Amino acid sequence: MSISVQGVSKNFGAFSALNDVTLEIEPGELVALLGPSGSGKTTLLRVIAGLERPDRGAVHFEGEDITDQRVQDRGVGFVFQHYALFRHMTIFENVAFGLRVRPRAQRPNDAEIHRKVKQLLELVQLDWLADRFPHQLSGGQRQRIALARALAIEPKVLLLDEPFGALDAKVRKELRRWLRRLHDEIHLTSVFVTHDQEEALEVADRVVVFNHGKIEQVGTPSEVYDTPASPFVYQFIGHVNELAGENGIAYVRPHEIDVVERGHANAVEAVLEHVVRLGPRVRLELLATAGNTPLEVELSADTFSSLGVKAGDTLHIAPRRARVFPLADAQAA
Amino acid sequence: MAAVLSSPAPAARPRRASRPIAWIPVALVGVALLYLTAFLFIPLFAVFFEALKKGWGVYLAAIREPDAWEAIRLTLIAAAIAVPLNLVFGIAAAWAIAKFDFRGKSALITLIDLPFSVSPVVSGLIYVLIFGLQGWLGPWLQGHDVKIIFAVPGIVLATVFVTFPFVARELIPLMQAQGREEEEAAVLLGANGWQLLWRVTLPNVKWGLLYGVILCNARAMGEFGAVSVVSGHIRGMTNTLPLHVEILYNEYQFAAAFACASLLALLALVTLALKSWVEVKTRSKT
Repeated sequence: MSISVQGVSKNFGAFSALNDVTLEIEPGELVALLGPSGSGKTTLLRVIAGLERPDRGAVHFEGEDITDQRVQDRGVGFVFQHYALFRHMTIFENVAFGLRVRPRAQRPNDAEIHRKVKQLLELVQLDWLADRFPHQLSGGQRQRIALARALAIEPKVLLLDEPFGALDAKVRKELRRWLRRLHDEIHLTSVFVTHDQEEALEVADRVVVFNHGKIEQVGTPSEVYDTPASPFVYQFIGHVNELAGENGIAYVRPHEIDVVERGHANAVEAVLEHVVRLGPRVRLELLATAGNTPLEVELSADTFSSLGVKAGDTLHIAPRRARVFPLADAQAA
Repeated sequence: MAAVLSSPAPAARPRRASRPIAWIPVALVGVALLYLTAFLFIPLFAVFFEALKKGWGVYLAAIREPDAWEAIRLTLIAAAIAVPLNLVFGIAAAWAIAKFDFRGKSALITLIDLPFSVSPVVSGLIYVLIFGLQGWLGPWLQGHDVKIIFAVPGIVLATVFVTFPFVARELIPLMQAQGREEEEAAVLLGANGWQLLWRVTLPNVKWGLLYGVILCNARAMGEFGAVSVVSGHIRGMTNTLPLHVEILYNEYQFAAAFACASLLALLALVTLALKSWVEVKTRSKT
């Protein structure tokens, strides 16, 4: 099922959460909405789900305008950051809920519900927890149950709001790999919201970068990382150095800078202030002699040790690749 | 149930090594006990002591007396109408306040508290001013032969008024703390309004609801001030149990007065017991 968001705006009082957002999502795609908090990504997800009404614009599913359709009728699977499991129901009943509330004519019989719930619990590998209550489960287990519950209604699209945001780093990593695999199995058009760039780049087919209620860039993970469309995307995804020049500001990734000999073309002189070892990588924190600008350079540990430099030394560095944005664009970010 | 629900005990936390000065807790507990004895235990004991001073025969006779029986009946009727009404109102108000945003929300919250902040006598008086013979609707009501003041409907009205905050007050903070997400999840899964209410909202607040109903009922049966103003104190007709106690007392029928008062005291004790039971249940659930 394709999702088409057309010129959607949404204000909360004086705050503009979404400002004329247009986005096309292909059937079977896994798309990440990425941005800082308050950038409008969650609001867009809730507009697609029908939990918020857009002030302007329309949402289409498979070409059909569903802007005025009731939430109940949209057939959307939704997973909340804090799971929102029904606390007074067992895990089994949580997953069965969407089937039990169907109108009598479409409601499966008890045996069918049992079979279906069991199948879903097996899909999320938690069939042994059917009789427990939500508060007896760990965060990661709860989130997988929330996903099984959302899938029970055979949704046309799956929407996930910061699905791993409340989990610790290790569980988070496991779960996002698992989500990626699950998506590859069931091919359900899925949109998830995250403020974690690593998560977006690792899991999604395409990443939509949000800022101040507007889309800054839409692209594959490598596109948004390697060729950011704006200074904001540069700053938000990955680390970046900003170097003021005559025509504007140059953006250079730390790993795209080499330490060079004195006299090298484009070389900048800088004092090495601090060395941070990150396993196989080494991060150098420098201060450019001209303008006292802080700079970051990332090298492999081997390259670093072959240089034989230490904190306090003066080095020369040169960018291998840089992208210059006019000053006005840089200030807008 | 309890065995299934009990979560593993949290690991023992290291106690703080330094102890506060030992006599302070003892003194505080002592003061509290003294206070409770003087203002609670002795009066409570006195009620039962006085009620039974002349023996079980007199006690039972006082309760079996037709006027007393009528007062008990009326008290039960008033509570039986007021509690369900306020149950429905409380759920509706709490749901609206906790789960929706609308204009005048804070005004509504303040209005719900009004019966708590207004003197019960005033609560009764407003009904006299509206429905009484000299009131706004008095002449019209008399013309249609409808009696509200100095009759059972007035007593029910006054009781409903003074007890309406209990259920709503209990539910609002609970529902606000639980948030809207479970409701949103239910709607996304296809639930309609009734399914939402019966399958998600009410089961989540059932213990708080029961707690509110218990308090509401205790107040409905025990209310004196507001009911006194609208009742007219017609024996065997418009006397509730608290009013009946007062009349007996004013007539120097102490044993009978205390016998009826002991019923109210018993109600209070039962209410307290129920209340603690609900509290224990609530805690084991969360």
